[in-house]
Amino acid sequence: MAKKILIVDDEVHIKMLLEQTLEELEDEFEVELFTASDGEEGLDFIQKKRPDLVFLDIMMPKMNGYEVCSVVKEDETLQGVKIILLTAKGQEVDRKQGMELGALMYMTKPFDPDEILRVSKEALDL
Amino acid sequence: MAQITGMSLFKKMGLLAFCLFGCISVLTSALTAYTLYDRLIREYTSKGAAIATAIASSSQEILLDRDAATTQSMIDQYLSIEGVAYVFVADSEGTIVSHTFVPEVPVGLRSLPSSKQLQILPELKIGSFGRVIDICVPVLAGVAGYVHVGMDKDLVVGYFWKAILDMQLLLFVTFWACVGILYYATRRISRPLRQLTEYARKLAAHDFTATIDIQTRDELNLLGRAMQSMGQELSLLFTEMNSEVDKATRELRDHMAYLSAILDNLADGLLVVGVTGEITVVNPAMRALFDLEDMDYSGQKIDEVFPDEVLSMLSGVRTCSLEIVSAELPLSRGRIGKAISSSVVVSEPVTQCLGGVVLVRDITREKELDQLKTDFISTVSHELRTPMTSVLGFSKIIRKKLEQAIFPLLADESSVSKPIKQVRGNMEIIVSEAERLTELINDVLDIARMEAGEIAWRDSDVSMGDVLVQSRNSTKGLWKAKGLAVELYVEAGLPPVYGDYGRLVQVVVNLLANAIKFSDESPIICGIKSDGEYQELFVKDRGPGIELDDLETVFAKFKQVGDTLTGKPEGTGLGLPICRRIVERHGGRIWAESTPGEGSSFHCLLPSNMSGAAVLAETTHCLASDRVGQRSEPASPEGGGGGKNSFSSSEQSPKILVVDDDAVLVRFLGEIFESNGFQVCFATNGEDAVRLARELTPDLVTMDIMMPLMDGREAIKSLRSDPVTQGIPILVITALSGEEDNGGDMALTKPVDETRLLEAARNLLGRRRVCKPCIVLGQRADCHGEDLSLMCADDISFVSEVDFWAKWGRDFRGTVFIPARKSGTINLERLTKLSGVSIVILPSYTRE
Repeated sequence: MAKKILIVDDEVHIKMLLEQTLEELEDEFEVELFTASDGEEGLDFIQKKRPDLVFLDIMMPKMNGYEVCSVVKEDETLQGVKIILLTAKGQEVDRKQGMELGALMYMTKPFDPDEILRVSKEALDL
Repeated sequence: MAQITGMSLFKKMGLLAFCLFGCISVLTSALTAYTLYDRLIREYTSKGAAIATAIASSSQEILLDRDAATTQSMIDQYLSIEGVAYVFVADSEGTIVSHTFVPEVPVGLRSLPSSKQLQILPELKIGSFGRVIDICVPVLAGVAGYVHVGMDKDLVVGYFWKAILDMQLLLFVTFWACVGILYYATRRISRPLRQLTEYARKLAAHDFTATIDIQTRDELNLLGRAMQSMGQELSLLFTEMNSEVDKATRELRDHMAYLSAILDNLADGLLVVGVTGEITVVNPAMRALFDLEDMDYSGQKIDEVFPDEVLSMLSGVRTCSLEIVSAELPLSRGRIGKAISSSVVVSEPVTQCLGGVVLVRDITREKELDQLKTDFISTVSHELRTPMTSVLGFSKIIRKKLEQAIFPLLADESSVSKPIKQVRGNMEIIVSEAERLTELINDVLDIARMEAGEIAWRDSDVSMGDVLVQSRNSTKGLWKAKGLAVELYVEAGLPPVYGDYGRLVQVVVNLLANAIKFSDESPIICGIKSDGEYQELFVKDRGPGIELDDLETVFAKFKQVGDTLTGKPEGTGLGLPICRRIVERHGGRIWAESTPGEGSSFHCLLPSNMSGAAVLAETTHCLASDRVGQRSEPASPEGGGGGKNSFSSSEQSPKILVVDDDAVLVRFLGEIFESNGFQVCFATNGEDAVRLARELTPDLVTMDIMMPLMDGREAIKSLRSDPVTQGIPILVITALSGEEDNGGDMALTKPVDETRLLEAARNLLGRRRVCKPCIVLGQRADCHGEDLSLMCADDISFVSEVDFWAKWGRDFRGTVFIPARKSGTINLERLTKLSGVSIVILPSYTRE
């Protein structure tokens, strides 16, 4: 079964960048990429499709990344979903909050596409 | 002042004279009276004796003839002599023949004793005569009779008393005459004395107009004159002093007015309190800051006027604490003030505390600006990050796509080779500039947050040794890339530093990164030494050095020294200012030293936490080498190991037990092993090492020799004697060279070189000794593919033939059972060469 990666970010460019970065995995390991533009949309997708990995922005309209993350982590049926928080908030407090909510990683923008590739492969055991 | 009067002097003199006169008069009277009495008695006695003798001698015949009448007429003559009381003549029998008594001889005289010699009776009491002295003279030795003459003793006593009375009278008169004279004399002396006293009293009462008039021509007059001139001198001095005091008072008043004007016009609020908490000064600005009424508050208690926050700032005043306290206070109408308080201490004449001073400044505006600045910086840098993400990300993707998909297609086109080269170079520039901009944003945000005090410091006891090891590992990419080496020197047994581990690592990483940036030759030396109270961290390089004038400049924001036009170094210019902030926040200081042309060194002095744990003694524990979620480069084995030694999952990665009593070295070795994919366990003494080795059965033990509780030699003996642990290879790491014969399999001397350590570890791991008796069975055709089943004393496992030879072959002891049908597949010849190995070929039973 093909693995699914969901990208949730309200910034169009960042979504594009992540998509282009992860295209390699699409070609190489037949990973499917999906995007969502805000927290609600993202959560909706996660609950319906259960992606294996989610790149989640924190500051978004409608529902922020922390909220999405905590809802997902409290849901027993979504245990397999790994969440990597991506944000421009680089403060220690934010990092701690993110990790406490059960995110797999907390990456600050700007990020290195190669790093994104590396952690995605690691998270998906590719 | 004592009241001295002339009379009191006179009274004293009078009393003295009276006593003296009394004594003199009594003594002289007594002496005179006694002498007079004595003389008169003798006089009368001798007079009486003479009379009696005269009578006796002249009346011998008369008496012998017993001519009483003649005798009578003779003795009558004698009676008229003064003092003669009586005369009588007695015959030899004592019978009175004639006498002068009228009418008869008193009874007491009739029986007077008679003797042959002159006999004097000093006192006789005769009724009518009173007391008499009786003198008896015998006539012709008593044959002719006796003559008795009585002298009147009362007459003598009368004379005697009269004399005394006269004398006393005379003395009394003389005494009063003397008293009179004395009174006059004392008056003459005491009057000028009284005048002098009065004058002195007036002088004491500052009446310098008084005069003194002493008429006598003696010392008192001199004294009077001296006192008068002294009075004039005093008057002069007093006048001068008064004018001086007036002048000083005027100056003081002016000065006070000046000071009070300063205080009143001071923009900051000022409050001065005494030691007991009473207000002495509140200036108008202070009243305005706390919305107090315009009145005089001096003397009031501070807690009645000001809120508790001000009160708490002055808590040190009572104890005369010299500490300057600064705090932010809420002011009236929601404003915020910055207050600084200190104690007012005078050192002359003795050190004492007079109270406390609080200065308050309204910083509402500054706080707002500061908040604005902070908000601006965090917003801007946050907003910058998003476009930066796109720039950096896309440029990297473009570069990748060009390299992977586009350039290869155009490789044969010679016409585009130059543009391709340019595009490649430009892409590199874009990526590196984007990275620099990102770094700048991070640094700006970091320093802004530090300045705004918004950094959450996570303080704990930190081992600086750990910080150094971690920093060295973090910068590995940088110094490896330039082919440099970083040498660590850490003093053993350092006390911890109380601070934020991550931030301290940031400091060392920054200093190392700078050293690496400016160095072209090895080594970079990084170390920590301690003098007990402080620890000094140093990072030395052999770079171009820093000019003397720039040693301080390097810590200023956005200042990079050197010719920034020709050789602009990379970096933001914020690294060292951030370092300075961090170090100063930890109560330390940072400075640079340099010899231009020879290199420079950066030093940080950090206070040790002596109350913390003496040394960060590691409790024995293991680090899982599960590296998911940690930002670090993938394990890149070094030395000749090649890829086969990088263990990705903790289940199969070899377990190394690191034993050393030096916590820093333990961390250092642990870091090396960990970053190369091994699992690491620690023990800090021999006992723990033996216990842990039994529990965990590690694949390798590194052993220090000199350790507390149980030294390395003992521990190795103990490990070798236990069947569970005897097969574990032991790498001895000791400061003493030539210690290979401690029972270990290999030895390294400190300081440990990373490459050699890894080489030795891999070498030993590859030859784990199998001393347990084992049995190898041939494969079963139906399962585990090509694996052989291996039964040992404590486990049954399946190993591939390759593994068997690689890992077990050399040190294997035991029996190998090989089914006949498999005997062709196993290298029997190689097996037979192994010592301690028996081979049994099992015949195969085929069904009929």
